[in-house]
Amino acid sequence: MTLKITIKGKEYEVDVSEEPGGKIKVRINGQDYVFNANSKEVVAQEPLTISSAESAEKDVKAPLNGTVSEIFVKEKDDVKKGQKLLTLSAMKMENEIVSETNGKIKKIFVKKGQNVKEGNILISFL
Amino acid sequence: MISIKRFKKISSTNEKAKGFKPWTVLVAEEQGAGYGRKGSQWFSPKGGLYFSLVLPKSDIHDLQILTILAGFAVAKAIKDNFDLEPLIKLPNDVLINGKKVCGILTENIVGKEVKFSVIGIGLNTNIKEFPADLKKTATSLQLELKKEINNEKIMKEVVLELEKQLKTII
Repeated sequence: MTLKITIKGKEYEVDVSEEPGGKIKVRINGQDYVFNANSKEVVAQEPLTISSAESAEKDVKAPLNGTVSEIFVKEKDDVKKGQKLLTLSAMKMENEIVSETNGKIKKIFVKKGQNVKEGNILISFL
Repeated sequence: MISIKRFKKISSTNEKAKGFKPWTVLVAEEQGAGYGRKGSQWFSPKGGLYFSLVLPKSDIHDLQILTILAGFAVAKAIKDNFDLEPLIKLPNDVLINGKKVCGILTENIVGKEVKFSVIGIGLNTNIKEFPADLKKTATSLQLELKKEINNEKIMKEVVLELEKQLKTII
């Protein structure tokens, strides 16, 4: 099972497979990491994928490929529904990304001037 | 269906337009803080033509051709009214004799989907002189034709053409 995961704009190709002896092999961009499936080490890994439907629902994603031209908020900010979060310059248009909900910003994954691809997570909410 | 709101002087027709309903056109005689892409300034003294059209929500991928359609509408109005050869510099400028006469800025307001869009058009009509930093790259219809331009007529022609074009995609 090969997955393509983008973290902070960098793309990782991740392949997960079972190895003899109940081990799990995780290949990230060609580098292999082998774990005992039952070890605590595996449990302690930070999840690389979007962890739940709920968090995915709250993530703000890039609507199309472009460049982050301005960021108007910072982490831990309380924002209101409709508040301007950032602008994404794409296809010579300025796209003003606004919040869909009232909430607190957990993490900003992008910087001003950064190129992003459609679907990349830009901002997550608590 | 299109309603026109007129202003003597506002900071920016695009910015102001964000509070209005779709199919509203805002026209200003002068902009205090006209802007282009990435916040660049747009020289907006009295005499020029500055207007923005609010559009309803659309598919963001379709919106990519909005600016091109607006450029086409401006170039057509220039060509139909004057003995000039406008050149559309894709996707958002119109040039005459190699100098910029019009800039177009499309802004989309996006949540989970596009809520609405604003197309702003700055057309250098009756501008007699540009600041030193723009002289080499900008021109106006008045400078090219040595005559006064009817802003109202040009604005209406562009808006009607835009409406006609946009209805094919929205």
